[in-house]
Amino acid sequence: MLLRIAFRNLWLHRLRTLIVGGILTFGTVLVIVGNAVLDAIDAGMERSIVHSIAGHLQVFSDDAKDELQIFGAIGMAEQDIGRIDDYAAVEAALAELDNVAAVVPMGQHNSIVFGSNLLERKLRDLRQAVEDRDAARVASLKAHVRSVVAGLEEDLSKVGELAADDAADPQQLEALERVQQDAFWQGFDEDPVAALELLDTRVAPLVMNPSMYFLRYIGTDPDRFAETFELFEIVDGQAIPEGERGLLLNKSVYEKWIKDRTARRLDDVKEARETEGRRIADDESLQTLVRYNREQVASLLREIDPDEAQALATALREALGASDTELPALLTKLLDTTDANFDRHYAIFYEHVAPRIPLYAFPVGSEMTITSFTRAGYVRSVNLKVWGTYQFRSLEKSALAGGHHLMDLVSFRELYGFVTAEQQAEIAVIKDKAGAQEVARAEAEDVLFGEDAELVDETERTGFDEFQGAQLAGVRAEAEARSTRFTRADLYEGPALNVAVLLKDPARLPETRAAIERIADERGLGLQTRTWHEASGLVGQMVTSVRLVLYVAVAIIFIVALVILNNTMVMATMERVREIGTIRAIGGQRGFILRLFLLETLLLGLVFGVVGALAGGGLVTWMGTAGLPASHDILYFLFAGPALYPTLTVGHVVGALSLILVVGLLSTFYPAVIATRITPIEAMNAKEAA
Amino acid sequence: MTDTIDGATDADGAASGQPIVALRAVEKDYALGKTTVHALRGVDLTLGRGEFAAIAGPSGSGKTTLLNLVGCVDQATRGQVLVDGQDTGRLSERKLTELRLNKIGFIFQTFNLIPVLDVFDNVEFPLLLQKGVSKAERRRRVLDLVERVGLTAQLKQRPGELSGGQRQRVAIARALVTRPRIVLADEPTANLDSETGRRIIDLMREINEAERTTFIFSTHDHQVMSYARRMIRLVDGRIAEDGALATGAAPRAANG
Repeated sequence: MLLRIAFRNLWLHRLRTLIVGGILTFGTVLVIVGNAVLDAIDAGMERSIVHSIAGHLQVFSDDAKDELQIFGAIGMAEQDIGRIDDYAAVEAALAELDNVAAVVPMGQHNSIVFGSNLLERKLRDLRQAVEDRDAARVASLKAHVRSVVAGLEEDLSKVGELAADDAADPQQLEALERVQQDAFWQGFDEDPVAALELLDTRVAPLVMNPSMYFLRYIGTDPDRFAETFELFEIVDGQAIPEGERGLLLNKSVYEKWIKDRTARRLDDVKEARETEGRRIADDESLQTLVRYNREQVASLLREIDPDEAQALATALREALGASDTELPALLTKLLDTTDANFDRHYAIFYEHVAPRIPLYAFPVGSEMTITSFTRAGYVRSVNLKVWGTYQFRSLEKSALAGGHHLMDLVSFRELYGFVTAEQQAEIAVIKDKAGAQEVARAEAEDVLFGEDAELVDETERTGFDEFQGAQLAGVRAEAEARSTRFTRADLYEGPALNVAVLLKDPARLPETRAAIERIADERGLGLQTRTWHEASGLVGQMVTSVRLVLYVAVAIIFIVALVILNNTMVMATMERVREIGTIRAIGGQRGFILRLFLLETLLLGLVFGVVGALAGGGLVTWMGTAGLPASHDILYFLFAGPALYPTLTVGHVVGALSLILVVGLLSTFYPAVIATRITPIEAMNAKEAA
Repeated sequence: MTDTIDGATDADGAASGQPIVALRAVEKDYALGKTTVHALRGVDLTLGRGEFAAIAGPSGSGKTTLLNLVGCVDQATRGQVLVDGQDTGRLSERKLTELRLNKIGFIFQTFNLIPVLDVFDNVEFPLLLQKGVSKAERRRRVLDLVERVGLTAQLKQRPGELSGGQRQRVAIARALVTRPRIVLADEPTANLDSETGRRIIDLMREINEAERTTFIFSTHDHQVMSYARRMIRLVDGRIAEDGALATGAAPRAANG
């Protein structure tokens, strides 16, 4: 009977039922979709973090002065997270735990790398040509070097105006004068080595270094890193072979910062057009990129070998269908892109221009001089081969994924300033010989690393004298002769900064964490642990913030819904005074009235909650197949890919339905209590038609 | 029963000594803004079983207040109201509701049916509130009463589909379905035309005679008043006149 009255009342007031029901439906949909999306983001972010560099758990020294922030702290400041002196012992301990799937040693550090300048590169080529006795090539490179040198004087006079007191070394200026004389170039072939030496040591330093790169790298076991982190994949080149030193550059950083700027700007325009649907015609920032490219033709031109210039001009004239014969005019025409010609010009650029310029400052296969400050503040440099580039699958576009480069742990230790056990033994010997003189750690490093032939002591770049230059060349040769290989023992029997631990069953994370801490205590390893979420710092807090924002939004919507429902129900109660009073008069108790009202709301909540659940569930399922596109690189990271695929769980539906029923009942409670206060007399006085 | 017997005496006799309703020095005050309205100013009244009494009087004389007190929907300011031997002034809200449910039937001026329920459901409703009445018994009683009020054909219709007279007959059936001791009707014919009103009163009287259910109704319609066997006239909250009435106007009075 109650049910029948409740149902029929809802039916009688269809409009009100629909409005109230609509609010409840909307609320249900919002809660279901919001939670499903957030859970998917949570899962996506967990995947992004856990399977790129963090693992489920991070283990590091309990001596750490700073909190571990695996994606870097604000401003990329160097963190002191202590050090794990004996990584092998830690790995052995962790391997005993049954839920541990993999353990990866790590360390993060910053470095500065200078891009070689145009003159340096050309001189290197010229030296090669001289050694190869390729007369034609020598002649053309001589011409190119001469044109670069001529441009240099012009640049220098401009700088001189800006900073007169800081003018270059008179010796260097005198050399610059000399190399511009015809006499110098006529005499070049008689003693190319001496001429090159002069250019290398006196003139090349005058060229302002065009580029300086700050690179953040992770030192690790590259093999194990690759097989442990499932999102890892090589893009260009190859993995660092086992036992070899070397670098894998982060593809995203490689494309964004290490690529030729003209090419990079073309890529940016292409991406904006293709993925965001922007158009040059009505987009100021794209117009700016196009203008820069037009204006930078001169610098692009300088990179092109004079030998190639003619061939390039011919190719461009043909491809563009232009009548111009001069390369600068053709390049300007090529780079003057519009929406109409962009795709064609882009293809022409990559077909004809790109192969004739150094597209990347550090091409795959080249060697980089990585310069870092050791913990003690000393400058260390190591020459490392760039084996290739890598990315984390589905995080290609996300800058948040860290932009770390990968390096073998052995080189990392040198750059970080670690002293190995072997080296300590050597120190002991040296100390012995020196009469057991106490040597500070930093100095000890100096002594040790000074002996390492692979390390290039970085002094002022502009301060070489010929003697030093010659010595440097000798060191380089020696380094190349020596094997860059190291053994497994070299890799594992030494220090690391932190350790990523992958678990077999992530659900047992807290248990495993406790187990790790227990075993570390037992063995006096001096370790502490962080979950991936804790270790990801600001990045990890982002989802928490997003969730908070959603919850606040949901709360506001629900409060509004509550007020509206409450009002509507109070009005509905007022309309039903006579009916309620009649029921009370003929013997209905107050409880009966209360039940009647709550039952109505319950029905309303159930019916529209189910409708909302179906709609929300449908929406989530649809999003799960169609995917929610990530329009921003932060979203890329949160979504763990270009799109988010939320999935629906029973928990989402049950949670939303319960919430909606609670809100419904809460909003009806007050009107229902008012209804129970209605007296039969009011029913008799109320004048309405039955 | 003769036409001329004093209603009170007759009723007392029929009720085997115990009155169904007894009012002793009842006063009822209402606060109306800052002034107090004295709706009843000392009423003594006794009603026995099987009485068919009309309460008459001008508007504001206290008719409705008196019915509300007897109907246990209101309580006296001073004095005692006994319904079926229970002092309503001492009963809790809950007990009063139970008393209404089990002992009293209500017929309202504006019918007050539950709009979303059909005739059958409306009549059955008080039985459901009572609980413990079997489904078969409920059905039997409802169908019996619906037939009695002549609405068998309208059993599945909602109040909105019925005429005023039909609605009031449904209300009568609802009032009687719990077999109450007293049926209270506050101006039951006020919203009906005179012919329909006459038939409604006729029906009430017929049931009164057949079941010996006590009926108390208020009215200021003289024609309706003439159906009563006892008439209590109120003026300014006091009983001005209380006496038996010749019931010649009632077509079936001769049977009584």
